Amino acid sequence: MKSDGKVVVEKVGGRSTVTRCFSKYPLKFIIPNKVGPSKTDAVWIYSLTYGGGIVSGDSISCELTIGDGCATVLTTQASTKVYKSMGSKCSEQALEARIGSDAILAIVPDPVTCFSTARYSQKQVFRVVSDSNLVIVDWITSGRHESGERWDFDLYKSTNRILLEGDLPLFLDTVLLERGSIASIAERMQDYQVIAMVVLFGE
Amino acid sequence: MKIEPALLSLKRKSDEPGGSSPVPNKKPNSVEDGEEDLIPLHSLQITIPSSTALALTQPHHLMNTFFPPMEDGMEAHIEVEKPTPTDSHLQWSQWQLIDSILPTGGFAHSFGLEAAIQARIISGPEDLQTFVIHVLENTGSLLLPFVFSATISPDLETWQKLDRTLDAMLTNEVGRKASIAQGSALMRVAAAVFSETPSLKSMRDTSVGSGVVSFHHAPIFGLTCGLLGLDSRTSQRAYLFITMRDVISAATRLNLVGPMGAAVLQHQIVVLAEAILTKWMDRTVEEACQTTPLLDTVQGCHAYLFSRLFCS
Repeated sequence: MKSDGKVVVEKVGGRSTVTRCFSKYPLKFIIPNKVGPSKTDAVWIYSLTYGGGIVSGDSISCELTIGDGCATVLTTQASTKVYKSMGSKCSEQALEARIGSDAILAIVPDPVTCFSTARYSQKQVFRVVSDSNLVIVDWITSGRHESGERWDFDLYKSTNRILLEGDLPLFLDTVLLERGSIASIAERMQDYQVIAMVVLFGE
Repeated sequence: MKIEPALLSLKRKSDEPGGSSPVPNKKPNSVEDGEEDLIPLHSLQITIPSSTALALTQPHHLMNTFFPPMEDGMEAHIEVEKPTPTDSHLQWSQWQLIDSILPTGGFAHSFGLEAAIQARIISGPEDLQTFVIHVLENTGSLLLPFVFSATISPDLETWQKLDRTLDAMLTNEVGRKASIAQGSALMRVAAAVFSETPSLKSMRDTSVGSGVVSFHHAPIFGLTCGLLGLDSRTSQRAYLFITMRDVISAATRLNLVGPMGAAVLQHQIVVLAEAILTKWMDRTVEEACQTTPLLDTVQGCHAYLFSRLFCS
């Protein structure tokens, strides 16, 4: 799979260690050493985009492999801003993660914020085995609501899939918020400005 | 009076080759010689009683004599009534399937309405119409693909795969359990009622107790329609219909609207419901998605309600 980023975490000397890290513009990974308490064995990966946001037409994909017994956190430096769409182009992000036996992956980004007329689609696929552990947080705000942009984007689509031992679907969820539906997005979201989904899988 | 040219070329009952001769008017949408059975729709209404064949060779200037004069630009259609015994019986089956009297337990579910009322998302009858439309839209985007796929391919393997996929997609536990309850009930009833399709019963018997199938509602509904011989458009429309029926029925029992108001509301929503059908029909399950995540969340809260009338 063609990727803009790839990180592999494996046990080295009994500790979760990044053994491979590659990223291509506009994606960048920052892996600081001193995030959690030193007694905790976990790798923290911050993913960033140059420019601080996702521009219309960007397509960013990355792969994560978490080896057996490792712990990894993937998060962001700030909220993922999706700028307005130029010429109806859609921006996309894709993540494919493999989680090994007795390993844990926590995806805890800041929320996605789509600006007015933005078009954004993301897909996250997690391939687990029976004793993998996952924490997934997937959330979106209504936009720059202080500026009056409330659910004013054109398209937001988020797909999360957890597949066991290859192909068995354990969890499939796609949320689609699109302008021009029978009821407007704002109407479907009522007075709420943010919606989040948290998935906990494992022990 | 000017009548739009109507070209009729109907097949003769006799075995005369070539069929009836076309009207000599060659207007832009004329029928080519030799094209039988093509009846362009123009300003003529003919109802042909069943078992009657009619050969029409009608010179244009004689139209007025045989048929009542028509208004300019009047639309018309040609009905050939030829009901066969199976078609009529199918209608009865179709109506029985969507009748609320069929004991599938649909009346026990409010589709998140009860939770929405207690969460103050709905305060009055005006909010109810909005709520029903949102439920229908989410049903369309999430469940119609399953109804569609099961109707066009009503076999054991497809059904079991659809059931597994839907089980992974119904992430709201309340909605998931409701789907299983309604699906199991529907399958039990349909297998017993529609005995002319023994495969329903055999599929059910194979799957019960196997642990492989959860018996979700939408695939079973589609499966039943497909085995009965209903087309996919009808089965998808029917699924939206029974969803609307159950939500509005729940609304009357929750005292949100009276029975008369509910009936009026149900009819008022038809135009939007059909638009929802047109938008979401005939899709694959890979395209299935939630379009009203807030409603899904609210329905999930049903389990936490202190006092409740409905199961979901």
